[in-house]
Amino acid sequence: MKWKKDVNIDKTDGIVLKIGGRIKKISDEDMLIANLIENGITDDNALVAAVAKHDGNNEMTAGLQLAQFAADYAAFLEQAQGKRVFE
Amino acid sequence: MNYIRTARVYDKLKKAETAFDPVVMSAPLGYGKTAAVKYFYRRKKVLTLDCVSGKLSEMPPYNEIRQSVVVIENAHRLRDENAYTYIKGLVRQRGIQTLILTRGEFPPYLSAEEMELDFVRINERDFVLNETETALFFKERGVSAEPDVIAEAARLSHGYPYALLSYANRMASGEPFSPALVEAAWYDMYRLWDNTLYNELDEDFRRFALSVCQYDEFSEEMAAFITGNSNVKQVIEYCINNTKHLLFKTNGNYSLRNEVQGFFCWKQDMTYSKNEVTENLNRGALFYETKGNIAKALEYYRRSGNTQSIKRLLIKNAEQHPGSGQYFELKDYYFGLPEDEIEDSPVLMAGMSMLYDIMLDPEKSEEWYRKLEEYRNAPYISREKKREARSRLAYLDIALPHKGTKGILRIMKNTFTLMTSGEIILPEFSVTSNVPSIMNGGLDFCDWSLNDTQIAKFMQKPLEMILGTYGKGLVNISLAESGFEKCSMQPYEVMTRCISGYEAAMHGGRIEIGFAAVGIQARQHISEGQLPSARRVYETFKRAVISSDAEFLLPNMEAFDVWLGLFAGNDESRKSFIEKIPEERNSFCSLNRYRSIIKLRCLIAENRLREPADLAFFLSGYFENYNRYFMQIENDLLTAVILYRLNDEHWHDNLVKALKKAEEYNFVRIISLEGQAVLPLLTKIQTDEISAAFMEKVINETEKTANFYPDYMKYIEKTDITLTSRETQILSMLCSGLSTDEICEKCGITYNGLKKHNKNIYQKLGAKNRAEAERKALQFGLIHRGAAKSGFERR
Repeated sequence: MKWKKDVNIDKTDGIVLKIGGRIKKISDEDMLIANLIENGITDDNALVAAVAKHDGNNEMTAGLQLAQFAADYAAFLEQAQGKRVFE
Repeated sequence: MNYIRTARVYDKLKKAETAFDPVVMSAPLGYGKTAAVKYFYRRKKVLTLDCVSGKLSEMPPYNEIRQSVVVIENAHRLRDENAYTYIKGLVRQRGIQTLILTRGEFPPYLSAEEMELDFVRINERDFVLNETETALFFKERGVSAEPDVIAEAARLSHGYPYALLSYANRMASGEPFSPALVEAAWYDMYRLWDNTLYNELDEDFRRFALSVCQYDEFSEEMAAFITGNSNVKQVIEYCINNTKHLLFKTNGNYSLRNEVQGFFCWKQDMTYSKNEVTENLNRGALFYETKGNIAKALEYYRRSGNTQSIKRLLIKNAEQHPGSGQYFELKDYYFGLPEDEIEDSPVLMAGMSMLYDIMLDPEKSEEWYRKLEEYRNAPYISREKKREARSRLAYLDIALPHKGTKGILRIMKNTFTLMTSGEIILPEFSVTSNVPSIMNGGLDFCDWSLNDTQIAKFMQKPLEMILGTYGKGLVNISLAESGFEKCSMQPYEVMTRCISGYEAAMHGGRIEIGFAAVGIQARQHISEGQLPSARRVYETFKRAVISSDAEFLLPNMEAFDVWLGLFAGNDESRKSFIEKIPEERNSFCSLNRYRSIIKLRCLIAENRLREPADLAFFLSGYFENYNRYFMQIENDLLTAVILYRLNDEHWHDNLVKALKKAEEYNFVRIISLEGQAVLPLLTKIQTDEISAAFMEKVINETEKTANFYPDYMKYIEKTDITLTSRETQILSMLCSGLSTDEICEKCGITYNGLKKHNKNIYQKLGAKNRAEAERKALQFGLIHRGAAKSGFERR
């Protein structure tokens, strides 16, 4: 999961995303994931592992947290590529 | 007073007389068997043999019988072998015509004779008076009544001449025909039967009928359960063979015939104590409950006043059917429970919250939600009940329609944590609400299509864990749907994902998820001009639904079928579908939304434009308040079509609104599948609020669909038809159901004159008959529905 190429990231006050006319501030509870992405962790499996490790939760809840993140910030994230036929 | 002969009975007796054929007349008491025979043979000498104490009153030697007609009355009472032998010989005698009158079936002892001789059978249907005969019947008794009163009396007599006689007697003394008269007349008959017939009945049958009379139908098993009589089979057999009291239905059940049921209910009132009646109803309810027929069980528990059982069943039902819990169908029972009974149960409180929400009352829904929260927090509640309350709240947090999908994955995360720690047990629940879509299912998931693949990657496993069997196949089908709507997925991939999801759902998953897969596959086929393939996919699934007894899907499947028919320009299915759906303003629940939006399309296709305008307006409030974006786009689009056809310039605003929202998600197909209906609007739209690239994509796809299906919601310009004022007047009268005579009288024209006008009207409308003319008149907006139903309008 990664930002779109033309997303502008403003870190003066937390993390604020800008693209086109849209602006959205990363919420406190989403800062972990945003920082992981900022630190170069963009592989999905690695993200799941990192979130799970950080929160002491299992990978299932981490997956849901990341899914919610992907939904909330969809406009700023690159479309993921699925497998050719099906998952 | 003259006997009113019934044509059918008379004709059959005539035929039998001519050929000297024996006759068996089989009908219950009061149908006029004896009167018919007496009338027909009034000029002949007749020997009548009655059946008393199981035997014939006499058995004269055949060669000593001087009469040419022998009538055997009450043959159903015979139990004597000698009598059977006698009758078997009698029917073979040349020169003697035998008539056997019975309240039962064809005498079994004559089965050999039935094969060899030409018996004429006259049964109760032959005795039913037609309208003319009924009018004459009343007239003979000094009763003059309007044709509609005569027709209603005939209907309420259930074909029973004795009932007609009772009505006529009362009306002859000045009483107007009314429900009270009908009721009083039937009580007259019950009293008569009580005095003349009741004690003649077999005692076993009496006990049996007193027990089962409260039930419209019953199986042998049910009858044994309710009566406590293990020999109930013999009672039923006796009844079927010797009386007409019991009817055998095509589903294998039995029912007491109407008047018998009415009599025994009346008798039960007088014979049973209140406790006995209650016990009887509870037994019936319990039987239905053991068979899983919750609706019937509840009905009889309600009749017995058994609130505790109703409560117990509602809880059991909600636990077994968490998806919708049949809340709407059972709403009367929920609302009928005292509030303190509901507040004692977390399952019922959750049920009330869900019920109010699907009935579009989110405030009341929240009220019950808060009560459930208070219940959970109350110190005096047991641990088990607290857990149940937490579980139900978790379910509501995810499933309540008005809450939408914002933050739902976060909620699911918390829910998952609670599940794994054992703090809650989440019931399984459906996400589709039985519609052919995931995106537009129980909740609106359009927002997820913005980053569908990424979301799917993260949530697939946890979702399947949370949703259990409802999760099987879900993600694949969702991705297929999203890709299809955006035109971003190749057809092969859409199909492969659908098939994979379908297989997972149908094997170890849930059939309603399979319906979503079928819906997407069908839409893919339609977008490629392959309507027969779409239909094939649907028909195959329908067979699976029927063989799986998944009847809860059938209503929406019917709507889906009608929608497929729109592409073929199928008139008949859409007309009957419109009439089936209750008026939304009178009764609506969110679970019916799919049928309503299809009804909207059907109304547009029928060119009944005022009605869909009202319906679309009604639905838009619901869609907006409940964040149903997909349906909001559909609704705005269809509203645009309606307004365009009404020459209302606001069509443009509605179309732009629909397109803007669709563009947010890159949804192309939601627009393009409306093909021919929406293409004229798209070519006329002028706006810079939609990007040129998106518009181009939409128009290209829409043109394809329009070419494939030129008859889809085809618009018929009403201005092509011009009727004269007289023609319009006559057309309105035709549509309001006036007879030919009435129209001639009101218009002051002759029959031939009317014929000429009708011919012109039919020609102009392109109709072959009156019914078609009425339909087209509505379709073209030449008259409005109010005029069609009541009176006529002048232009």
